[in-house]
Amino acid sequence: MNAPAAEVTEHASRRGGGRLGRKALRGTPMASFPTLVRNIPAYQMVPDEAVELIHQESLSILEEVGCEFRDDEAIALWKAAGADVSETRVRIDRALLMELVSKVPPEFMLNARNPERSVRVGGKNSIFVPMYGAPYVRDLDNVRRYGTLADLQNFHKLAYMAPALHSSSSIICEPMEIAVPKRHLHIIHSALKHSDKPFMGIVTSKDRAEDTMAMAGIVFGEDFVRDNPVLVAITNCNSPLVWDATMLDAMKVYARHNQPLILAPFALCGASTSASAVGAVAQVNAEALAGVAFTQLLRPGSPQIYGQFMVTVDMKTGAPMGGTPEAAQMMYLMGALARKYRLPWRTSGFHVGSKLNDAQAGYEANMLMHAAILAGANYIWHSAGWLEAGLTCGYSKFATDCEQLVGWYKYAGGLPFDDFKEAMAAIREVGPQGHFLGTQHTLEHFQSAFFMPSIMDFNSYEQWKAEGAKDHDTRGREKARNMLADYEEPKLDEGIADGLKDLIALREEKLPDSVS
Amino acid sequence: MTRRHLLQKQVPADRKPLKSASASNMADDEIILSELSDEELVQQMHDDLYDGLKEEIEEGTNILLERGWAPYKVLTEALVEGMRIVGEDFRDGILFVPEVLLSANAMKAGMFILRPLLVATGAPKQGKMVIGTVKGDIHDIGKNLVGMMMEGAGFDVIDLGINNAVEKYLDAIEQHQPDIIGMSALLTTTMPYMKVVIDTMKEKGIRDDYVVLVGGAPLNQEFGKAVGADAYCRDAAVAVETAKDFMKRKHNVRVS
Ligand code: B1M
Repeated sequence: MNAPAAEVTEHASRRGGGRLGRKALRGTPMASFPTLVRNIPAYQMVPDEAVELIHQESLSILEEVGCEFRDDEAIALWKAAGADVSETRVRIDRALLMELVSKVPPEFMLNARNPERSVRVGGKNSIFVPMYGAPYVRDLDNVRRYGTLADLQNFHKLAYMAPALHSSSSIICEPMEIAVPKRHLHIIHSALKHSDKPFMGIVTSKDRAEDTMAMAGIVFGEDFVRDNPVLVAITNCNSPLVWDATMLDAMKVYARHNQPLILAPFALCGASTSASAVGAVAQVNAEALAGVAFTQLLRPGSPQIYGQFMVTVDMKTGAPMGGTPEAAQMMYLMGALARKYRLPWRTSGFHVGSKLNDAQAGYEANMLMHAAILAGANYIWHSAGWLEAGLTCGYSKFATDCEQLVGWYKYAGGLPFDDFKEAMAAIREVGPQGHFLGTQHTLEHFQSAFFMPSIMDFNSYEQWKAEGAKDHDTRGREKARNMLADYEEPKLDEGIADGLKDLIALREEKLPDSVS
Repeated sequence: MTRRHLLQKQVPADRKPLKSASASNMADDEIILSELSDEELVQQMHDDLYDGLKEEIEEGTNILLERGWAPYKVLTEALVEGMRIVGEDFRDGILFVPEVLLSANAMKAGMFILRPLLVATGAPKQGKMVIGTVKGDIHDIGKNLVGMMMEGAGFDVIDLGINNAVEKYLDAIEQHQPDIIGMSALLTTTMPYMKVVIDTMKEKGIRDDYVVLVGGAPLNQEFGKAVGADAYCRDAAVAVETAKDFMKRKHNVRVS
């Protein structure tokens, strides 16, 4: 699979070629890759029997120990479905559980406000999604500070411009200057205004989830968002084995609108699970399945995402780690389980613990993304910006991650054989001794044959020195700065834009200025 | 005492050598605590705290008391000093969280014996803390670590758990009369709630009666100041140090 050619900006010049023509062709193209169709086999690290063993253990956990659902309505739904309920503890029989899980479609279409940016999730189809939730940013001057609305807007712009990102996420960083009760309105507004890709919903309260749906309704049409996925929302299980009221509230709002949820225990392996990679997977699998099954009580057949990824805990401090070998190994188990259940699967890709966009970040990111791709993930999240186990979004990291994603997109697309014959012809044309740099085949294929990064540097030492001897992190920041300078806002219907503003004004009038 | 022997054997060579694992002890693993001199026993208790041996700490505590040690002397010289060493090695990355948890549990067991005696003898209080995660927030791994380290340092800790509205803090203050209120938050959307708690304490005229410490990854010094806390603690070890400082000041005020 090759990256699709950039849309060529039209321009009037003499014959349409020359320096200007080439520049337009190679400039900052507003291109967007379609859904990644993985054209490589999924790698299974353990035998089928091991996957089956974990599966059976997860089912036993749900039957014997059960899972907490801390919400009256959820409990009533489980009772009605025939689960064994005592207070908030729900023990789910394996037949009931698997029957509910089997209702989830294996793939779904995620609609963008620009239909060209709509993507498919599930099966062979994968998408890359930028990070979520950072209180801090590492800014364009390499300073770590609280995020602002201006930063969030910048990240939405970058997400829109990055060809290999398929979503704008939502809270890439937190706009800390906006009052908490009103913040969600501005987060969603920014995502919808600055990008035309799919986005993510807010889950921190029922009202905020409803506001998100109302805003989506203005953009996509109220009727449309009742049945068609336009966003994805993340609800975390509080491991071990607790689905709490806040998350259940958000699940009710989104699932009833047929909007996919990521049912995700973001467990810290060793703290919220046993200190065993396989034991941990059996536990979070139970948690995810319980969550998935619950959504099918809310709306049978609604698309959902089996959501886990896991990080291990640094036993020196209790802090979450990132790109460790165990985190990668656990992905292979989760991927195998997701395929067994025929569920779209989310994991994360570049969720490193490093403070800086440095060598540690690079090692960690590579360990994780390689596993995510080979394990067959569909919703590859935290794929741009993430530093410090999610506490910081870095501009440089965002830009360099996006560049790496172009490489991973190509890698996962498999090895094309379509020009094999021509390549064989070229060797006959050149024969012994010559070189290939000037052959017709090379001219025709050099642009797509190899990954051509602009932030990574492969120049001669002298050239690199002459250009300021800048490290990768610095070049990443420069790239982000340049991209932002080139940004052009995607068109949004005026009526829709006004509709969003009106809704925000209306809600802001009602909402308080501080938490209580 | 086979358990102690087992543990000693497990300690990797690159760790700080345990005193009790000295050549003579290695040959003879049976240590009869009551046969040790005071000084040896205290040393042994430091090691036993380090190794998280709860029953041995209980035994050692009782022996010292039987020998006429003042409860406060047992607390400071045997237990607190032992946990100081544990804290230091935790900070330096030699001891790991689960091991410190074990040590803190052993310390707690000693404290359990000493607590009524300390009260009866009018010893200076080590301090009492109420701690909880604020309303809307369920993150508790960090808070649990802080609670455990505080207990390890001899503080009485009342853990209110997660998702605490201001009323919960107020009730706990009334019921437990703590010295310190600790609040934890991990979400940018819940951390402003700390101000709600502190402002309510002000309204009730009780703010200055307590030390308020706050923590959680998205907080920082300025935020702590802005909400009116006495201090922001970046991690559990800092929380312990800060709490000790404030207790020291409190005692000094009382004395002067
Ligand atoms: C005296 O008082 C004191 C003193 C010192 C104190 C103190 C109190 N409290 C802490 N300290 C200090 O000492 C401790 C020990 O040294 C330290 O405590 P820490 O807690 O910092 O450190 C711990 C030892 C380890 N750290 C942690 O345990 C937190 C790690 C991260 C990854 C995290 C986790 C694990 C979880 N989460 Co949450 N989670 C994240 C976190 C990202 C991060 N890197 O911090 C964060 C905080 N979460 C976030 C989010 C979004 C969410 N989480 C949620 C849920 C969860 C889990 C349940 C999955 C799990 C919590 C499990 C649990 N039982 O606690 C959801 C909210 C739930 C809720 N209502 O609270 C949810 C909304 C996700 C969702 N959509 O479901 C993000 C914050 C978003 C924001 N901008 O506010 C986040 C930064 C990750 C991210 N990038 O998305 C110090 O801070």
